[in-house]
This record gives sequence, C-alpha cells and structure tokens, in this order.
Amino acid sequence: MTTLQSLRDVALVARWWLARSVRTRSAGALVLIYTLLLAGGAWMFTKFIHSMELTLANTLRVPPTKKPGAMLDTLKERGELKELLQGMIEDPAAVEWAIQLPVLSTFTFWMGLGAVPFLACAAGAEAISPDIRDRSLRYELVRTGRLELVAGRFLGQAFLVGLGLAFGCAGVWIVAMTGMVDQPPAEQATSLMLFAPRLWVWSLPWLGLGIACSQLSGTVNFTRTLALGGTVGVMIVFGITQWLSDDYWPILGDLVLPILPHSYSLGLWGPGFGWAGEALILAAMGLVWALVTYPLFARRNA
Amino acid sequence: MTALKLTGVRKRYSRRGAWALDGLSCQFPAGSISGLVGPNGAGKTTLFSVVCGYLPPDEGTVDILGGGPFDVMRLKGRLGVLPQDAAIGTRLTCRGFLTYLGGLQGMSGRDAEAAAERALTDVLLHDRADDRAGSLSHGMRRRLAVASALLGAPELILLDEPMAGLDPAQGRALREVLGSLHGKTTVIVSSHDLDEIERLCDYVVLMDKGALIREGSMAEVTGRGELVRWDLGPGEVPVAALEATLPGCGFTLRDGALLFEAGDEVDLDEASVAIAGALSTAGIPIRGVQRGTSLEESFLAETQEARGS
Repeated sequence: MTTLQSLRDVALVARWWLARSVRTRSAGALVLIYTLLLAGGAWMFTKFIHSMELTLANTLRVPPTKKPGAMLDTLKERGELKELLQGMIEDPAAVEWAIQLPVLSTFTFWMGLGAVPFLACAAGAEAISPDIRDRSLRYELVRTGRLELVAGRFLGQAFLVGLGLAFGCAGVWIVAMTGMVDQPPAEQATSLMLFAPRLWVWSLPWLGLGIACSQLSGTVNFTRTLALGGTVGVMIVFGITQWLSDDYWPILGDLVLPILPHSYSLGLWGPGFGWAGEALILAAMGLVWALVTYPLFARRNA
Repeated sequence: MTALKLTGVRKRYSRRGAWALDGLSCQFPAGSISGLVGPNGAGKTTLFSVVCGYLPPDEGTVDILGGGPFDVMRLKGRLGVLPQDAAIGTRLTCRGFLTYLGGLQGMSGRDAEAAAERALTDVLLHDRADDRAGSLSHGMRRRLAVASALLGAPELILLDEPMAGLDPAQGRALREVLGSLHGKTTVIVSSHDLDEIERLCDYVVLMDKGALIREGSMAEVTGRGELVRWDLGPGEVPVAALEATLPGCGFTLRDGALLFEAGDEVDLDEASVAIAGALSTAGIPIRGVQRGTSLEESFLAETQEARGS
C-alpha cells in the first residue's frame, strides 16, 4: 500500500470511528466520564481549599469566607500553598512555575496525570475487541490493511480522549467560576488550555497500551482488565525500577526508565514549549505500544 | 481465463486438529457465476476466509485475479465479499456504512455515495437508505451485507450463504442482480441450497471434508449436455427403433422412464426431436422431460462415491 493510500485509510478509519462513537453514544459516555472526573475532582479540591482558608481565617481571626478563593493570596504568601504543591509535584522548579498559575488548574493537571492513564487505557481496550467478537472487522479487512485499521482506531480514540479532556477542562472552568471567588476567567481558561494538550499527550501511551490489549481478544471485559492491570503494572515497574536504580543498580534505570511514560511526566511541567520533546516521545511511545501485539493481530482469524 | 485458483491449499485451526482444507485444488473461471457446494464442515467458509486474507493458508497457493494471494492494496475495490456471520453495527445507517466502505475501496466521497445508492437499489433497500441497520429485519440486514459485496464494480465477488434469511421475492431479486453480472464479474456463491445454486450458477465446485470432489460446468456436473430422462406413460417403448435412429447413444428403461445418454457428437436438440417423434408414433404419452440429473442428485452421488473410495 502506498504511503498516501495508507494515510488516507488511517484518516477514513479514524473519522468513521468518531462518527460511530457518536452514534453509539460511546463518545458521549466518554466525554461525560472525563467531565465528571475532572470537574468533580476540581469541585472537591475547592472544598479542600475552603477548609484551608477557614483554618487560616480562624488563625488570623478574620471572618470566614463563604466561597473558597478569597484567601488564596494569603495562603500563597504564608507558604502553605507552596507546601501543598510541593507535596503534589515534588520538583522545586515545577513548583515555582505552577504556583504562579491558578491553583485549580494546577490541581486538575496533577490529578489528570494520575487518572488519565486508567481512563485512556480502558478506552483503548474497546477500540478493536468488540469488532473481533462480532466479526464486523471483516468488512473493513478486505478493503484496508490491518495496520491502517489499528492506526486509524488509535487516532480516532485519541481524538475522543482529547474531546473528553476539553470538556473536562471546560467543566473545571465552570467550577472555578461558580464555586470560587476572585478567579479571573481569562487567566483560568488560559491555564487550563495550557494543561489540556499536555494531558492529552500524556494519555497517548496508555491509549496505546489499551489498543494493544484490544487486539488480543474479542472479549472486551478481558481486554479492559488486561489494560487496567497493565497500567498498574507499568506504574509498579516504574516505582521499583526507580528505587532499585537510585539505591542499587543505576544501570537498571538507564535501561528501563526511558521506555516508561512516567519518566517523562515531570517534563510536562514548565512554561512555553519546553515539554515538546517529552510530547514527541510520549506520542511515539503510544504508537509503539499500540503495535506491540500487532504481529499477533496481523495473523489472527479476525 | 481463471479468476481464482487454489492449488494444494491446506488449513487447520489447531496443530492437532483436523484439516479444514485438505490439499484443495480448484479454479473458478472468470466471468462465471460459480457455486461452491458442500455439506456442513466441508470447508467452504474456510476457503473464503483464506481467499479474503482473514486466515493465512498453512500450505498451498492461492491466486486471485492472476496476481497471487490476497493483497489488500492490489485487490482494493476489486474484491467484494459477503462474510457469513459478520455483524453490522446496529446504529449505523445503511448509506453511511456503505459510503464508508466505498471510501476504503479508494472511491472519492461523491463516488462512494453514488455506489452506495446503486448497491442499495440492487438489493431493494434504497427506501431504507437512511435508516439504522438496527431497525432492519434480519433479511434486510443480510441484503445490506450483500450490498457491501456488490459495492463499486468488483471483479470478483464472494458470497457466503447470500440467500440465508431472504424471503422468496428477495431471493429472486438477488438472483436477478447476480444474473445480470454474468460475463462481467466473477461471482462465487457458497450455499447449502442446491436448487438455488443450480438455478443461478453455470459452474460448480463440489467439496467434502476440505477436499475437491468434482468441479466443472453445471452442464457437465449434472449431465445436462448428455443425459435426458423421459417420464413416459404406459406402452411399449420402441428401444430398438431408437437405437437404430440414434446409433452410439444409450437407452435404458427404468421405473417407467426412458434414460437417454447422448453419444459423442450427437446434438441433444436434434436427438430430442427424433425421440419425441418415435414415442409419438408408438402412441406413448410423454409425461415429463428432464435434462441431466439435479445438482442435488449429482452432489449426493459424487459425495457417496468419494467417501466410498
């Protein structure tokens, strides 16, 4: 297949996947989940901020605020907010940058880094598996290559995840505007727009992992469980490798850490486009992971 | 010229399992409407799967449209397939589904829409074009699947049980569509319905246990070109006179019927006129005439012979 034909097929498959997801309402469900998770998490964080502010108001013997946000500057000046961010991010340079941004956006990004892998891998696990089960892939497989099909589904699902993140960030913005005070709308929106693409890039390896699992079986529950288990496994491997390489075998870190997404998550914190390198690596990792099981899929009775 | 040729193809689903295809060699002439016939488990669907690239063969070669085995780039838009049990998403519209497949076949958006419209008209679903597949009956969904195989102008169309679930009128309409493709497109139809195959096809491949039993034109396989059965009323059949009129031909009386086997270079039409004349002269009523045996009879005889040997 010529490259141009392949690319056209990938685009067609991705577009069809999107249209189909809209029709089957799976796109709506995915957007709803992202929105509920990000906006819900943000809403709970406002409650936490409010409790910090109430404690501060009590300490300073000033009247308590009805809504969170009014005492954020004071929390910042007293270093309590910085302490909170240090607990979340750990890296001092990243903390220095993040403290200048609206705290709800920073929290959303931090939370997203933890939650998005699970959502993305679960979404990826459903990209091919059901069509193996009911053999509907057969209509496509006499018209396009299996590689193009996998790549197209990856692209389509990645777009859906992006859509989910966009809606989720919009939800966070609404929470900030309605649940907090003194949150400049434009600044809040800009900071969320700063983080949303980074979260999207972060989702790609996990989406790839899910799509790799999706090629293995026609049983969606199995592929989803495998993908979620794989995500947890990758996190455990990262933690153990980091510990072993820090304390015992540095070479292990050199060998294993570069192929794990977590090694690049810290690089996503920072101003400008300093994260572009990490973004490229994560995107490539997503594609490579999606194709790990492709040799099996290429030979299976689809 | 051959549209599809299989040589020594073997395939099994597990290392110790039975061969689903066991050294199958057969060919399908270009422009023909061919029937692929065999009992359950004969390997018909496996054959289709191997041809369409769903499954790789373990041994042997497949030559599709003269260019070797299945290659999606080479066969894009040239091969139309009706898979036996592949589902169609219930929330997809008929038009949308076919337009998408047309796009994958390499058509532009406009061409794909036009081809989808034509295919839907062919299977009498044009009035349901914008309905979701889930709202269609089983038979209609089957027709939609058939439409996907007819989409565009494929040179080779493989239809696995196309008539399954169709009512008589729909079956007839589909037969007419397939009949109109004769000479232009090679159509291979797999079916258990031997009457259907006999009515539709001009070439037939008989399979059993993954191997070929017999292949040839429908006339050859059913003996239409050489055998005629005359069902007669009471009376003395003038066999001697017939043998004298048509030397080299065989005449056998069985169960009130005269079985005529044409000799070499005997024109069957001329022979029929002569036999009818002789019977009429002898005052014997002719109750029925059948050329050859039915495909079912041929198939059963061939299968029995193959299993016996």
